[in-house]
Amino acid sequence: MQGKRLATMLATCMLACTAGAAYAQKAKNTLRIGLVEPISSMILYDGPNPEVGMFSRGLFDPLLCFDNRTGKFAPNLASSWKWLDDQTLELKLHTGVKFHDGSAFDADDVIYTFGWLTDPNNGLRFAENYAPFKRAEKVDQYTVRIHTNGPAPTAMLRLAYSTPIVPSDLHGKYKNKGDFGRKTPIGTGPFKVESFTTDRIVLVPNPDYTHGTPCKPAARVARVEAVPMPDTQTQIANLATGNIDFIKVSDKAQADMLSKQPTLKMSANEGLTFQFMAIDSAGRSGNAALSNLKVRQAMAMAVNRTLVARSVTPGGDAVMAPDALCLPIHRACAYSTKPPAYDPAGAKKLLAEAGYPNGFDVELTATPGSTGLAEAVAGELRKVGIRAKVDRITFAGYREKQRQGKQQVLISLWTSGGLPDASSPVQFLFAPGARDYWHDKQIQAWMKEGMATTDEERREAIYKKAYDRVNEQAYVVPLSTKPDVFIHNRDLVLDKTSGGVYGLDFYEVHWK
Amino acid sequence: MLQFFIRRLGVSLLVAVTVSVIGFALLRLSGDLASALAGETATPEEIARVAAMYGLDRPLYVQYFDWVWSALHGDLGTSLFSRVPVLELIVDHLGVTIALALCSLLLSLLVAIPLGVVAAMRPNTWIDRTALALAVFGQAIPNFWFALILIFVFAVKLQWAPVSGSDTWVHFILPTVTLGLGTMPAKMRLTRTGMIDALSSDFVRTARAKGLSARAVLFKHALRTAILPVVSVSAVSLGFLLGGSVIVESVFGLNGIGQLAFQSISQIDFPVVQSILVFLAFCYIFLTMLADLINARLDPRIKL
Repeated sequence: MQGKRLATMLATCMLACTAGAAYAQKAKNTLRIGLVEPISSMILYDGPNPEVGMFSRGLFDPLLCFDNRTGKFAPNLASSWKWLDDQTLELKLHTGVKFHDGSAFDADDVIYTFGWLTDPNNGLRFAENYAPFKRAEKVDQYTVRIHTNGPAPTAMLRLAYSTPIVPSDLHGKYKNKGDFGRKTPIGTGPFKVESFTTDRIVLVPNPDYTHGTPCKPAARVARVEAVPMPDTQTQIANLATGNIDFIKVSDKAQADMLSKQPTLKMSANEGLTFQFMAIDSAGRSGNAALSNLKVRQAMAMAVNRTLVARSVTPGGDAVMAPDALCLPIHRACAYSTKPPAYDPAGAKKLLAEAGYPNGFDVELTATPGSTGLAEAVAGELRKVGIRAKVDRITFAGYREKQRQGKQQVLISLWTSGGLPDASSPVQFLFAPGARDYWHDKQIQAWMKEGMATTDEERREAIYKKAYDRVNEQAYVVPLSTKPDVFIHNRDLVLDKTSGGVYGLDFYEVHWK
Repeated sequence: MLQFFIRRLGVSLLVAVTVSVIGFALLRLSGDLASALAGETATPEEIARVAAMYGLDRPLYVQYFDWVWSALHGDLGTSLFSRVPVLELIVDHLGVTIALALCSLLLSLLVAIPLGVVAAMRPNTWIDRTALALAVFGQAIPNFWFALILIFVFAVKLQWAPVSGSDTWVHFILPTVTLGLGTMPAKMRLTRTGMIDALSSDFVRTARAKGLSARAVLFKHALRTAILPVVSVSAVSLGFLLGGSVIVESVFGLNGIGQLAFQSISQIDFPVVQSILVFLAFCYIFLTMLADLINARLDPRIKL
């Protein structure tokens, strides 16, 4: 912590000393990025992490685009679509689309992609993402039908977010399919690869990208250069010397200091991630106090959610306390209740009514990335007499502890699994299994019901019941959103984009 | 010589096997790999599918022997994360690390040996004290902090060197200085102590009595003896530089073996971690053997 602070101060000194650094990239219309990790494949199937996702979205197209700004689907490789029944989606494909190598895109590429994704022996790590899809059927050269395994309300989102279409001839010839994304990452997207090694990636605009829409427009910069630099201080030094144009930050102190520099600016784009406090009501952890509804409500009342979140989460006013476990961007998100308002006196009163006038001991398990928030929440709980201590834990340790039933209160964050759907948060927390510390049969029944229909109105009504119950029972307290925060050159525009999991898309970034 | 070589090879193989067994066991016992691989939202069925897909549902000893058998046939497996053959990954990252390690070793020797010799020739003078102070500084300063200071001064303020990357030889200057400074003190102290001992020994007195020049006494007789422990330490430090430069590689954005190991550990990419472990163990073994051979050449009294 001390070292981190010192390093941040040093980094700020660097910036202060080079406030006049020349930024020649604007004139060249080039975007330069420091990557947190070296990238070995350019397609999401081989590297399901945010940075690979960012490149994958730039190089490859899915059939549909989902716009986070409007909450609506838009065309991408498909120009139009309609559900023939609740298990068959028919899509008309754009004509005249070419892959980066000049080969034509048509239904065969879609059929091939789905054939591979639904093959149980494809060796994909997250094959369950494609479980809703049964098969793809070719109607004609530019019409396909996607058949799902039963009603699949998230199928269209899955198509839009994590199903890039690959060229059948090229991808098909590889025995090891992982070779495609690192040897010939050829898609139909707004960018194409000029050169790609694990040390440097260069992208240039795809001149044949004619099927752009406001949801996924053509590239606005003439070149993207990306170099791995895992260390944050190194990224800051490169930002200071004008070697890169933006960095993503997750540390509030860093974001605050850097955003005060005259040459830099902070942009905080609301994403799909939120932070929460999950309380064991089922008694799995053996802390009896937590099974008491009044105690859980008191815990929710004790925390000034917005203040606490903003004190440790970068993003300024973009950090907000949602009133339910789903965010407005989540499809079918609805609720009519709210978590209890901040009221320390009321919290103490509730604790006394519950039989804990002198408070009780509780352990907060904090996953990586949420330790600062957990400390802040513990401070708030201590103010009302709840003797909270924080257990900082690794991801593997957290999963182990969770399985063993030792998790009293969890302070963590959830990325919505990359899908803006109301099913995601409830499914993630309340599905039977290691993560379930509530054993609420009613919520589980609603979850099943919500996943068995594609009628959006019906789904909204179902999830409204589920999220209201989560609030009423104070099972999980939504603490705040966690925006994607970037510090960047003042002349660079990094507005909220249609919604990559990284929080921005190359093709929407541009110079003023 | 041949007997020594065979004996050392036997011991080396034993060490390599031990390292691979311990490494394999530790990686498998570090948590539920299948559940970590399947992801945060995976169902029990999905976790079981992933376990079967990667063969994690088989007994541990079967998994181990399977890995050894494949490794003996030149197949180190495939990265679970990027699905790139592990051998290819290691080869891809090795160049940067070897370049950095050799440059750092060379720099540390170029500084440590002359400094140690000069300090030994003028013991308890300001020269000696300065050399020792430099050694203390080199040992005490955390290399990530020193790296940041170097970046601040030479890359940001003076703009004499790039902040990070590995495109040209200039990119290696700051990381080489950082690592070189960290490994220099031990060699400097050993050289100084060895030289002080050698300069007060009988054979040096005899050499002087025979009327040899000061230079010949110093370099042909004293330094040749004093350098022996430095050779051994250099071999070990080269092994450390190959495997232990994670932080420096990270700070300077060098995509080497250390960085690959760190990334693979954080991703629970055990085929990569396992292979790097064994590869580094072999590097250590080879380097210490090489040091023994060089020592034997330098000092005929050493019996192999």
